[in-house]
Amino acid sequence: MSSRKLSRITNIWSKVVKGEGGKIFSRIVIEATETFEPVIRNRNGGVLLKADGVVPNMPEGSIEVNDGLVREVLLNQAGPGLTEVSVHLHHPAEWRMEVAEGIPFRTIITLDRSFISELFQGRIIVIDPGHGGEDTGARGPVNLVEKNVVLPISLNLKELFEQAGAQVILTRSKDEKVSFKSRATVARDAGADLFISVHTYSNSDSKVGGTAVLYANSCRESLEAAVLVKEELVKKLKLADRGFKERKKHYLLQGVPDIEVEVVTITNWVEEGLLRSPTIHKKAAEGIFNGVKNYFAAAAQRHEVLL
Amino acid sequence: MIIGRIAIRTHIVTVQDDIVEVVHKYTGQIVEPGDVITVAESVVAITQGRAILPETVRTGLLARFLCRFPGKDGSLATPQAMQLAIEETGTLRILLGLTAAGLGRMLGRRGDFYRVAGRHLTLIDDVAGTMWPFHRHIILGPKEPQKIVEKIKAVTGAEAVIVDVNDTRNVDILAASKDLDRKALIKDLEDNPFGNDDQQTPIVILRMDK
Repeated sequence: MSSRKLSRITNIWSKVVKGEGGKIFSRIVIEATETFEPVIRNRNGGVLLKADGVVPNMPEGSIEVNDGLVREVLLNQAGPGLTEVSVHLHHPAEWRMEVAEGIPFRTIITLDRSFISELFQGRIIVIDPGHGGEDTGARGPVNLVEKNVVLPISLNLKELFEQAGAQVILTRSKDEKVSFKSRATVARDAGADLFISVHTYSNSDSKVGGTAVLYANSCRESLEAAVLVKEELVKKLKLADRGFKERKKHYLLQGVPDIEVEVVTITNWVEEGLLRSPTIHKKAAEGIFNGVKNYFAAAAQRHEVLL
Repeated sequence: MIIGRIAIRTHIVTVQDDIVEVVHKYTGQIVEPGDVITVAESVVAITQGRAILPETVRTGLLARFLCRFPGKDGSLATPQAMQLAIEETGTLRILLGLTAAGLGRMLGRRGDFYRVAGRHLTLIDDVAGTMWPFHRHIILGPKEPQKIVEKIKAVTGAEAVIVDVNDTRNVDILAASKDLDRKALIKDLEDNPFGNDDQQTPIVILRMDK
């Protein structure tokens, strides 16, 4: 053993970033107090980093990432002065590693999100922000109205889909009234692969809260999309799970998978408060995105089996 | 001058923790003479049991009435948050504050409510959707922050501050051990080195040029 001071890992964080040429990457950054020489290799479809002369300063165990590509990062001390960081993925990915000197010393793992881009390539998704104009939708106990909160969520979602390479059509992008019929026409004319209405739930009891996804009986895939989107949305928002159910009225888009996301319950005191922060708009979009990604991944897998 | 900022990830800190012990545990092996330890005020408050689930707050008539007056997007617009504010500062001071705010508004002046009812009420954070598992909580300001920074200094040997930092570049130093230049610190913390929401880094060590 050298007499060099042990390096201590103080933080691990991740972010989805845009690289040269608009390509999208997942970036994982490991911060430590002293310089060290990481050794990195593929393992179990993920990445394993070994660091000698390094100990965790932060709690060992899992850091949940859930960015669509990276599921989690695990930190553990494998022996005296030997620390392992393993990156667990949902899908295969190319990666590269670099280090940056400084305080703290940073080890950066950059993972290629091409697998996700391929799933979204050529896909047409219609996002339908609920209500608009004189049709305000539900109202929160203090002052928020549904038509105004579903729009930023939809815009965040549009950005994520477009970043992944899909074509996105919004049924409205400002505060205007759009008829039921013209929303459906937009989806039909576009030849959409998926129709997503964004709403909030309302209930006369201000204590009721949570997230749900509704599906139309337009085709078999609506239910599958609803189940997958709800699962990921609940994971991101960590609010009560109100389940999924069939929607009574729907846009009659025969053959187009059609879901309605009730992101949160606007009539709940707490959830109205949450809607004031852009954090929840972003997280909701991330949850819906991950669910849709899983839906396209399942479809691609079925397609492969058939071939 | 600051030459590095080390963000310290911790376990999920709760009311079971002692904040001085948490800081000591995670910075003890890292701090060097001359460093400054900064601690996020919300986490100090959480260890003091000052993160409160809105559904556990029993709102009185007064809170339900008064919550209609402050700005709707502010932190006191719900009966639960107003109830907590009344309990923090007393009914009389709240009423005086609202009267002052009403008069101030007629003169086109803002901020009179907090000037009269108490600065500490600005530290009440309504539910924000961040810092799971406290994403559904109202978080009050910490108690006795000056005592805490002095204890941190005693156990770590480093200077310490408790700060309220957010993404809108507002930096509020609640308490600092004696030798610190507050103005310089505010500048250094403006871009929120704590990160936001789920990064779970309530402590940041500022390394100074020596």
